[in-house]
Amino acid sequence: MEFIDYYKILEIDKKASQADIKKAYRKLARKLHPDLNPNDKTAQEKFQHVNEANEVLSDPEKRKKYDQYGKDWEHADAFEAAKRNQRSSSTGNRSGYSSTGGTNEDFSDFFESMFGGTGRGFSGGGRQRSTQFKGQDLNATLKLNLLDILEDQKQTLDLGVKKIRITIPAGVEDGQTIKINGYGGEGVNGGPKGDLYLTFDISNNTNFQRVGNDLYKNESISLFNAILGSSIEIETLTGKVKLKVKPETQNDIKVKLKGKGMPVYKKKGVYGDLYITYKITMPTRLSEKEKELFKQLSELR
Amino acid sequence: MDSENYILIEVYCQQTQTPMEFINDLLEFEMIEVQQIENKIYVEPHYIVEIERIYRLREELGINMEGIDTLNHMIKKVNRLEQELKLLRDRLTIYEH
Repeated sequence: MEFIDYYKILEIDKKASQADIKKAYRKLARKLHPDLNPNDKTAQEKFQHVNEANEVLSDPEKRKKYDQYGKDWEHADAFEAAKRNQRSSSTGNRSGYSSTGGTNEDFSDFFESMFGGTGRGFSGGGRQRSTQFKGQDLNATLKLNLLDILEDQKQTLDLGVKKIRITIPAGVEDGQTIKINGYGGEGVNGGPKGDLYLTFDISNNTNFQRVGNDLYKNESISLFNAILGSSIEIETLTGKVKLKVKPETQNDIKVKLKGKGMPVYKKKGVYGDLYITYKITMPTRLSEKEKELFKQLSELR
Repeated sequence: MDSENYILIEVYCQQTQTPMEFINDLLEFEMIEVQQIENKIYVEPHYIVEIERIYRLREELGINMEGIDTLNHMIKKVNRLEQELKLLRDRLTIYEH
């Protein structure tokens, strides 16, 4: 377990007054509050640390204990003594902020060891309201491959307390979050259940690049096929297709294969397009005869 | 939505110690919609998330309703820009190969 420098987190001096601490905390909270940084995990994490730092430093008793044992953190004896003492300390009033519901992680192990299990994150922490109503929202990330989302897919999710079966619509975006109503925590006092927010982490291990619903791929063709034209076979996500390369095809020319892209999210039977870019490969290690023929060609032009 | 899924504002305010004036502010700024059934005011459950989010912004960061309304517009804009940025980044990778 690592020592956490709460002063550093709040960007304040060790001699900071209670007013300084409050000011520093409020300033950072305005910057990092999860409601203002809904898609920013780093900010949410930082916010949690800031909350924890404030929880300790704004409470004179906790701060004293932290200052006393914190600096000797590596001395296990002192730490053990601190641990014994903490049993009698009260949980105190929480003055932290609450979360958007999604980031209800607990305080750090460091905090727990020094101050006991009183750290319960900022969920519901500093609310003026003492009663919760709507159940806690849950956040989960689901890792899928690009090939998994070509069709609607039924998947069982293990939420720890229960398992649920959901259908993942084809064509979900990487990083997209969907809300599944009512699969969060139980509501309180007749309140509705929380929701489950499921974020998709789509990894792409194919040769295709995905841009929205469209796919992009480079295809190498020989100089001769490009000049004289030919018929080639290319891979798409749904199988092979034959393509006619026109004579005198230029390098970097794009061909659109309509409907060979990704399925469009929640639009059954609608697909994006596949764009093939021809990359012409120049012949190398020419024989003397080939060089001679190219020379003749160049003289003809 | 079934009427039985509506939440009675009165009960919500009571359970969560949310002042009724706050709900009136939300309505004034058109941040939520309510249903009136026989003199009682109800709200659809998905608005609870919104009510709680705005309440946090107001109580925890001390932002007034005008400020929150402005923030809401900005957050929407940021979301849109982030989506656009992702699309542009994805598109850029085509040229980086």
